Amino acid sequence: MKIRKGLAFLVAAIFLISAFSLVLAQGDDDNNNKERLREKSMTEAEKENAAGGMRAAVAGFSGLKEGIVQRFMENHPVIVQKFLEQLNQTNRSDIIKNLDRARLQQCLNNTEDCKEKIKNWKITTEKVKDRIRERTISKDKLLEAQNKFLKAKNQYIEMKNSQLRIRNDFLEMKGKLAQCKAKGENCTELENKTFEKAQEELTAIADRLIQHLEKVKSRVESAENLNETEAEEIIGSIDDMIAKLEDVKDAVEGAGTKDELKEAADLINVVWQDMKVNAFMYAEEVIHSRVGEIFARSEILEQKLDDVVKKLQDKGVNTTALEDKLDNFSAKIDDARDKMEQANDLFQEAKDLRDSGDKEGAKEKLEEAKTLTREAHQALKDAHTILMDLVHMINQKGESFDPDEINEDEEVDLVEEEDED
Amino acid sequence: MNKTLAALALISVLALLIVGCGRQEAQQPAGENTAEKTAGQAADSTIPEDIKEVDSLSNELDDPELNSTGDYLDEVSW
Repeated sequence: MKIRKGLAFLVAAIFLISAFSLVLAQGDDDNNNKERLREKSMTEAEKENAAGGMRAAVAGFSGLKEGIVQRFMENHPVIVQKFLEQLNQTNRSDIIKNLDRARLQQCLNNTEDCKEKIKNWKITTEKVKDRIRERTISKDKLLEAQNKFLKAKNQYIEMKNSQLRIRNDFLEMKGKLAQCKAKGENCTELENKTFEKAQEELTAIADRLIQHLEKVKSRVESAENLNETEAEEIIGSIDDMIAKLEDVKDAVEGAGTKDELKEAADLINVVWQDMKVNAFMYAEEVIHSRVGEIFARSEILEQKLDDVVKKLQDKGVNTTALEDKLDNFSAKIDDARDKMEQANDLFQEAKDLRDSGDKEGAKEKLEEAKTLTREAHQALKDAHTILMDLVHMINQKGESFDPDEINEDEEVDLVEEEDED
Repeated sequence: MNKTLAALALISVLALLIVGCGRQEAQQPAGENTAEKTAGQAADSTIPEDIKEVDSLSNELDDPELNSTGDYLDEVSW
């Protein structure tokens, strides 16, 4: 009997617990439903704010762009309405539809400035592969260039160490020779040894410069974001400098007097002065082109992310936090875009100055271009950190997103500045 | 009495199962299984590799000590 009572008590307890759980679960559902209803009613309220011409003005924009416009509209309804109506009249609304989040936000924040900018913008339709690289290099050639680079890198280190060692020996001999001459002794042997050491050092300097040029050349050969003409021009120029240095090495070896040695040193100096601008420029162009490739990939990713967010919105998922992150991502990409464009202009200015013979002016412009390229690279690094968060958030919300999954044959529409030709 | 107890027990178990399944569904949205995998793939994506490559390129193609070349050449022309 006692067992039966105990059993009855146990069953009753389980029943009560499960009933309580059901009530709690129902409570959660109610809360979720209330939240969904609140979100729905907020959207309705926002839509109500968009009454009159605004609704017509934003019609045709994708859901996301409409979202940004509506968010801004809450504070500045008149400005946005006028702006969008004017755009529709001037047939420039297509550009706004294809604009990334950061530039759209800037446009809405300063509509007057935007109206001017839009005049210089165009929509470019391009295949992804053409967007991310200027030329396609075969795997074999890439591998070959990589091997050449590693060889040149090792030889450069070897030549640098060798040159510095020879220099120390040469300076020591020069000191001893000066002492010998001061004492008025016969210094012929020492003089000959010092001369030979000077020859050795000049050869080592030339070899070091050649290996530096080989490093840059191999990187140009594997730079897929430099077009064929540019790459050929750079490689031709580097080969020319290497050939001059090889000739000077022969002159150094054949030198019989200090004057002949000085002439050879002057010839190396001529190539070196050339290298200070050109080799520096080529190395920076390689780096700039690499950053440009990262930028192009990131710009396309922004569009892909927009599509995923739209998909989530269609499913009724709250994407507010995701969109805030995406705004930050877009702002970083825009920062990189701005800096890359400025760097491009500076590269062109540097080339013009170099061609006009102003090497110092060209070098200054190159330094500025280098700084901007590094800043653009940093902005892209920051964007990538945000991207990792975005991927995680998207996956948590039930969608999958792989930043690497890009169909290179797909066509993309991107807004760019018109060429100033 | 026995039948009532059995019915109550059955209802309780069913109720617990319903609540349990509901919660599991709420905590595990579709696609979460792929979350870690995709985030992992992203970490190995070509963009991080490109970023690293740019960092190393900056060091590989730029040797500030090379700027002393002019001085070395002056020393040799004694």
